[in-house]
Amino acid sequence: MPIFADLALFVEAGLWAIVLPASVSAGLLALILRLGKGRLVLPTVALALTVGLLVGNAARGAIPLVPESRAWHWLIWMTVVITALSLVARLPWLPLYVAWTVRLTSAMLAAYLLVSWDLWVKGWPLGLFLALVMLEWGFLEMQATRWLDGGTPLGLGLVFGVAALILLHAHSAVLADVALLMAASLAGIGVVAWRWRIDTGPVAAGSAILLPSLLMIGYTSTFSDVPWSSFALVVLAPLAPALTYLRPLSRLNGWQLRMLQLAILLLPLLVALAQAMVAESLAAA
Amino acid sequence: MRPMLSALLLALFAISSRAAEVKFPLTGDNTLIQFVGTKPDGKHEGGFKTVKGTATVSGVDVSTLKLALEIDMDSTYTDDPKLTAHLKSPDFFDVKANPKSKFATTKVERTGEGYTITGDLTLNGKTRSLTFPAKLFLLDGTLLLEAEFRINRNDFGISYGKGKIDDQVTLKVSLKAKK
Repeated sequence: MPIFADLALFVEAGLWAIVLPASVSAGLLALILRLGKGRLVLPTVALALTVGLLVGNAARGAIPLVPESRAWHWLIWMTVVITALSLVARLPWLPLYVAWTVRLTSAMLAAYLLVSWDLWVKGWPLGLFLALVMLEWGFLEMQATRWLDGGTPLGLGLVFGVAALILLHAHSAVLADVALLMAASLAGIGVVAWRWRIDTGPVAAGSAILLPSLLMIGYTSTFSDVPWSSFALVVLAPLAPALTYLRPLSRLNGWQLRMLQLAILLLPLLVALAQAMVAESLAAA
Repeated sequence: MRPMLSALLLALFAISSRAAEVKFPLTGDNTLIQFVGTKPDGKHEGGFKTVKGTATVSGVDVSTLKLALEIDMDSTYTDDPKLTAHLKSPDFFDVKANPKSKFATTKVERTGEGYTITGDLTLNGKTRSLTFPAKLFLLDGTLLLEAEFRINRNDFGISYGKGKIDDQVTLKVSLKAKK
């Protein structure tokens, strides 16, 4: 029962957890953008992300389609629901305070289903979770709206890819699969967005909910020596590029700024991965 | 008067027989629960170190056996520490969410070769009824039980690795308890 005992398992995981969701999200996004002549970009991005995720999950069988009592059974459905709600929050005629109320309500709904009761009782983990979700949601949406180069979904794809590796080192292939499915769906959207130069804002909400939930569940439900900092660094990584908005880095622009943002994103991810690799090997049983 | 006295004595005897229930405390020392998981290219063995419960028998009739067992899933062990960690994760037992497994007999029947035990097994948060053959003895105040049977892990919501890990898992139970 080892995780990824041989090459065949890697190939199978690559096919169903990466190639399939990436192709579905990219293909669907490109097709609808072409047919719709570039209209309805935001709903199309949301649709591409959720369909990629759901098709990948159905093929890979990572999470049961009908959730049971476990928090992690809700991870994918919650990502889908929150992505849809994020479209409501971006309706142009919606007052700003209503939009943020929608976001906060969405985050609280996610917390209700994904944060375990003992963490609710403690209080501060719940507050931290909500604060992180709101911060990441706001920042990632701003980034995706500002930069129409597909960099935000591609960068998030990288973050979820590293999250998958951390979870594998923590000995949970199922949770790693969920991260991999999200990484692939985001990558698919990123490639199309890079070609079409579109607003990929709807990827922000799902990512902001799924990343902390997945890694929090991964940390609390697995048995490994992977340190908490490894999980925390991956959760915080999407916020790292915010440093480039501080002086003197904020004077940069164009590709220099994007390269710096990528480097700043990579730094915590590499540290997290190194910590996990030192703590636990993937050697098969 | 004499028939009434006989009936009274009979009733007293019945009550005293019922009172002759013998309880056997069960622990990880006297109750061995092991499993064998197989896959096309090999197998792994493991078990549970911490078990507690009681076996109750009325008199010397082992078909009256009532078994109530609780397994501490955190005490899972296997022939490979990484596999143990993997088994405790949400992929298999999801130990943090379901720290205990339970088994309670509902019926014990004598068969030609031994006994058939029926009971409810709660594993991974799901309860299913099981029936399995067992050898059961009560010798010199020691209760002995030996059983080996298979369960389908999918019945308990453990479906990770479908096609790569066999669905059927062999369970071996060996009990040797003194009152």
